[in-house]
Amino acid sequence: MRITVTIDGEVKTFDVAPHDRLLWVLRRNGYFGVKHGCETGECGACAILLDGRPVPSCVLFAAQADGHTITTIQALGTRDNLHALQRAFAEVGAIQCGYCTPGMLLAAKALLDRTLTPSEADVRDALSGVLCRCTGYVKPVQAVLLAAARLRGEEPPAPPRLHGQHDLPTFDDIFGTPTDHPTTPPPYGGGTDVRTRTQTRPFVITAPDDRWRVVGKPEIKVDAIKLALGKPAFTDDIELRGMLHAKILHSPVAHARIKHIDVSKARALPGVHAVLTYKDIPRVVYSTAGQSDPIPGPLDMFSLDEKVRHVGDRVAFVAAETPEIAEEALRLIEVEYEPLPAVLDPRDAVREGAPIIHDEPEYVPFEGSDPQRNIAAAIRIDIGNVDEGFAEADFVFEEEYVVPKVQQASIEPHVVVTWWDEDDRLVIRTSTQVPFHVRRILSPVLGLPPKRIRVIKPRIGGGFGGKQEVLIEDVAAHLTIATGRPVRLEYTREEEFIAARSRHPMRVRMKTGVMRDGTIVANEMYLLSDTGAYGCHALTVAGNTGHKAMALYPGKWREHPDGYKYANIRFYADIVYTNTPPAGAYRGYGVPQGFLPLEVHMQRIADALGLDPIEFRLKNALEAGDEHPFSRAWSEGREPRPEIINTCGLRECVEVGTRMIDWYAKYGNPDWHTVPGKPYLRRGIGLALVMQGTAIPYLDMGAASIKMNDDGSFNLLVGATDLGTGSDTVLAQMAAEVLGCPVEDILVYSSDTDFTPFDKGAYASSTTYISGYAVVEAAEQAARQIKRVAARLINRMEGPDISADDIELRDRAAWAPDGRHVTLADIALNSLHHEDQHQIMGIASYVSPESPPPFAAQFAEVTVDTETGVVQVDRLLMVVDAGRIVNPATASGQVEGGMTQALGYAICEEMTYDENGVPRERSFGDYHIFTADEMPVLDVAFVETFEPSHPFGVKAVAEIPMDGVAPAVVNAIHDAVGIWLNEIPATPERVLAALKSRR
Amino acid sequence: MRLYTAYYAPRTLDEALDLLAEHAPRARIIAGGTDLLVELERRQRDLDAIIDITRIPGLDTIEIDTEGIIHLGPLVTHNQVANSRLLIKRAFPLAQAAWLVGAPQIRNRGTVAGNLITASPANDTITPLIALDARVTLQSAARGTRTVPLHEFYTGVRQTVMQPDEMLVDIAFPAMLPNQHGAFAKLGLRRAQAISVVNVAILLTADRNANGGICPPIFDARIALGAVAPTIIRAPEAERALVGPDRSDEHLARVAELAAEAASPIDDIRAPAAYRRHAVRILTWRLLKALRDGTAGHDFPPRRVNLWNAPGHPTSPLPVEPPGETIQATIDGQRRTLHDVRGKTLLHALRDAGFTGTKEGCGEGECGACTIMLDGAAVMSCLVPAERAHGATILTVEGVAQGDMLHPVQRAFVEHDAVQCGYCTPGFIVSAYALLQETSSPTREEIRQAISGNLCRCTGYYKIIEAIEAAARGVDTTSPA
Repeated sequence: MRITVTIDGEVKTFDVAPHDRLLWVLRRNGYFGVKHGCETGECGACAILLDGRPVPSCVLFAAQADGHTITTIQALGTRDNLHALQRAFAEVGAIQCGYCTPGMLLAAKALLDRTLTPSEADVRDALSGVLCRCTGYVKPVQAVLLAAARLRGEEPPAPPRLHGQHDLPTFDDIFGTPTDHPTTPPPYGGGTDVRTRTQTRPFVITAPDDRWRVVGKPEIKVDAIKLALGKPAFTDDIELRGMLHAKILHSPVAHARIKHIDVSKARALPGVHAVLTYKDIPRVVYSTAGQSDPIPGPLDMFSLDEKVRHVGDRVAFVAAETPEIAEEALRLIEVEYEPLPAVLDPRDAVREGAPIIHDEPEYVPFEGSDPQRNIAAAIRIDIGNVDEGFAEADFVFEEEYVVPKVQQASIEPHVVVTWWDEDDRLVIRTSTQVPFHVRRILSPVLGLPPKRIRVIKPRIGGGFGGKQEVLIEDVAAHLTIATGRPVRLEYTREEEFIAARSRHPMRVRMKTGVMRDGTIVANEMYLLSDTGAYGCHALTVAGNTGHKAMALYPGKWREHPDGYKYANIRFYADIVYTNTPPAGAYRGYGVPQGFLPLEVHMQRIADALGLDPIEFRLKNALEAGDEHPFSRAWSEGREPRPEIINTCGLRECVEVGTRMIDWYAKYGNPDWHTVPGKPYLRRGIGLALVMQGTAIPYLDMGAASIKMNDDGSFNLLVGATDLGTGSDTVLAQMAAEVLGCPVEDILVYSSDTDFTPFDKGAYASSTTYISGYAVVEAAEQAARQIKRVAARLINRMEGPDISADDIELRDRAAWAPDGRHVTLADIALNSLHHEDQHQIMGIASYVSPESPPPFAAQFAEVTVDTETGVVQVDRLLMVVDAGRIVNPATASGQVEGGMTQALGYAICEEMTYDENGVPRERSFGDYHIFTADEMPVLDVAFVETFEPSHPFGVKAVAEIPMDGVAPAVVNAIHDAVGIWLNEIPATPERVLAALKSRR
Repeated sequence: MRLYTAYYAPRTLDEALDLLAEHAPRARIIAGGTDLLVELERRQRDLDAIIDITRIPGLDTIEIDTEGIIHLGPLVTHNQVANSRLLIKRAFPLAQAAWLVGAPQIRNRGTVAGNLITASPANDTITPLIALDARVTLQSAARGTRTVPLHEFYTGVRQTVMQPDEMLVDIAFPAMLPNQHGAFAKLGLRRAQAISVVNVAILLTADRNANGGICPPIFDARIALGAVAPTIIRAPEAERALVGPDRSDEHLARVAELAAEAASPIDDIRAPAAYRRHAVRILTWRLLKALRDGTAGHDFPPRRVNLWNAPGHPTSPLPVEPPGETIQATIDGQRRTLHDVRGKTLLHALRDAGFTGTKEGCGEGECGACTIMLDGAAVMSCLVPAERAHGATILTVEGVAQGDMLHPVQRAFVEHDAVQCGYCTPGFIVSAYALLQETSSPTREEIRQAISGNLCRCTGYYKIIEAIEAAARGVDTTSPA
């Protein structure tokens, strides 16, 4: 049946069943202020005003309300215009848990509507139908009386203020000042002495360490079971009442001004709630790059603009009842474009007279930006004197290399749900690597202070840098602001290809001066990077290309008068705009682009000079104790400070790798290179040495808090964002190690800008090192408190007195040296409930003064079909020095997955555009990523060093696997068939063309 | 606003033809949906209605008649072809081509008839059927049946002589005789999910020698080339040159050269023209040598992974009440009603009903994140019209565990750290589950085949393969080092 009621001043019609209670009909229709406390009309939480009289809605049939007027709490006031009762309740402190408050307020309103001069007895009588379990009714009554007085026009004297604020103790007061870390063992000394085959293939070599019970063990990931069960953990696995679906109209042209845009038909379509164009939202320039403040790159983007700069650029946003209606609305938007000449080749971008892509006056430049010349950023680094080095060299090798644009392609697309919460704060539930950056970056874009934005990062289905971008959160947020409704936006796969981010494609010129004996005396790299239509990560990606790749081979060190050593290195980069979809952050962050040229170049030089390619590399490579050659010259646009390389297992990586792959039986052995019975096939083997960094020094900060629960378990709250990498698990392992409990007793929550402390997010291979350090510190604070309580309890037992320092935490208990012990659960109960009650907890943050590089040796074996040009990669082996490995299972998973993406970079992945700038690859059909049955043998080994700057000796592992596969494969192709590929991916056409040109 | 607004599930061929007559061209027949749903999703095609013929019994037969002619019904899937003993023996190039199509989930749904009708010159099964001299029978309510030789069926890229009110009801071709030798090869950029860069099918008539190779002379030769012209073409000059006694390497190379000259490929995203022509020459040359030496087909697996728990084309009967806005299905062991399904893919219908364990990665059958089992066969739920599930039995990842007891596959995934971001995991779990239903002791190669339709961007697949191996071995735990 159908009923018509006037609710909060609006006439509403509902279809209801005869047995429907009014309470549930109201809640079903979004009147959440009406609470359910019982089913029998006894508690009053469900109170409404029916024709002005308070009644419990739970015992009213909806049908009985037909034709009547209903007032709910939602009509009482608004944030900007509170009802006197609401203000009084808040001021007096009448709200504790707040569940009964709506009923109280409505009951009080009914009273005050009748009389503004109630007695206290009247008030108590009026409130009698509403049960409260928190307040004892003192303050609610007081509040009603205060409100009545104000409504009469009286302002009673303010209650006395509390003088002498409670001296809130600082954390240090509570927990004591942090002390030093346990003394760390000396850095890595040499050769792996012990090998252990862990239970998981691939081959993981790791030095076992008995000191630790949890760290170093292949613990099961804390989130694995729910994922195996398909539990609803991801951004889109929720449903919100009244949720709208958003879609974006993307530009079909590469470069144009929007001459005219008419959205009237789209707005008129039933089910459409908002259509936004650049005319409808504030014009705020920003950058989508998810980086710390200030963003080291130009601000050159708007949520919506009157100009489009690439095919796929944003033109309009739509929110509608269903995704289908939203799609239909997109088709009804009429746009007239004034086409502008487009720049598609980065080499054309800087030519005289090239069309200017960023002519907006709001543009904010950063280091080297010159939008008039389409330059997003530029880098000029001169270390030492390269020209003198070239003059001194016996040989100079010069070559140009080209690396392609590729996509992160996480299987979960970008997805976001936004809504206003009950405090009128904007909640952004989003699949992101950088929740805290999302909040900060969107604040000006949305015109809301950060405190009115809450970002929730649920489970993330892969990111790889693609979600280090504040890519679509603004769209849903603008639409929620426009409609007041929850809005969901999820990218299609096609949108991922045309309107997300990618790896910067580059042309790289290498010039290297070498002495006859193989000593590098000068090394120079110039790169032209194509950032596409916007300069997200433009500067820092290119900077990393030099900073990480060119640093590996300082070659000949020279003495500086100021007492340090330097090498002759020049690194210049121009990062230019084109009318193609923007590039951005992608795992490796510029470094894979550097190592393809560098490592192919090194192989070329070794070949030309007849040197052993491994000895030649190691002769020139960084070693432990060296200064990072770039560390005095560049630090992502910030002040550079010298950094010493503490640990370097490069030589050991090479030793282990050559043994594992049997390098010397294959390299240079003609028999191994042929395939019996298949004369058209040739085998080859190649290698590349690589390094990466671990977080950005003096900048990347992570924080953690830990609190102990009644049962001796702990909540670990981290801002770090596990996007599948297992960081929640390794952080839990570190906490468990310090606290002497199993991983299952650590409940990890990450991350929510309201609940968890700040973390800059998951990028730059930093979580285990930076956030892990913070976790260890926080856990140690908690451990000290546990030991204090434990010492007190143990000293009550028979035996000699001990101090807290004598206590060891393990096996869920605190142990005295003589075996007396108390369980963590008993300690928790004692501390929370029994005596000297306090919350055992710790909170800490960490920023590192250094970025210890992981090192690795990457090996590849290939078979080349000389007739078709098809390259089959048969085997990849990576031997990695990532410091101490916290979890061999997850760490090797990082290397395997990284090598697989890098394999696509090497042989099949490439994003291309036609002559109008239209993307050619728009699906996984066009864009090939490796499937299970196409995979080569993958082997991983870890050579463990102990990085002294971290309590558990870790370095990064997430990105380095991206770096070496492409050059190792190209070098292996050369080893097989004698051709040099200066451009990847090594598609059959490219290989065949190179083979033909050689003939 | 929906992919389509009306969905018909006829129970007989006549009913289907009547519906088609009434609604064409605004309606189209759908069977596997692996092409049509993608076209609808991409809005490359605009339809009011789809007519799902998969519930019509008797259309999925593979038979040989008394004349030695093989007949394929319109619902015969790629996996049926690849597993038919008759076809492996008497139409080997077709069985090979069907096996090399897509992923197991696609082969379980995609039909050969649909492949022919989509008419892409890159479609794999057309080339062997041209070599086998197939003909197709088309039927309409208004004009009855007509039979068209396959080479006359095509008029251009994605164009055929078929009228909108016609349905393809039969594919027929002479079975290979004992003195015929055939094989198919393709060069794709990827092994699974590959759309051919080029493909070649060859059928030779010559006496068989002791090795299974050929004794000269060659009496007859048919060479068909795919993806090198607007339609599948033959290479007549090469065929003529092949007939005769010469079977030397040099001669076969000359024939391959002639085949390459017959090709008139275009440049496209997958390969430039010159490369395709070159590839034709190499593939033809290698196939000819293999046929001569009796080694063709050595790479055809003796046991094939299909991700189905019963051979053939399993289909639950259509309930008496046809599917409307609402459908009923048995999902994860429980009778469920799904509301408001019209015009949705099964993936979206499931997710909207709260089965969010099933993930969307691409929406076009490329990634496998949405893999479910439909009537006992693994399929991509993004390529199934929701109404097809009416009366069907579905297993999603959420039904794999028994209550709180993880399925061995799930336990193995956890223990072997095969889960990184976890987004693709549901699809892998279902594929692995289907594999172990099909065979309890898969080889490593079979495991790889089974998950070839599932993409993972995190793990590199190693740990996934290991996990499935461990689950198959019944190993519950792996001992730490």
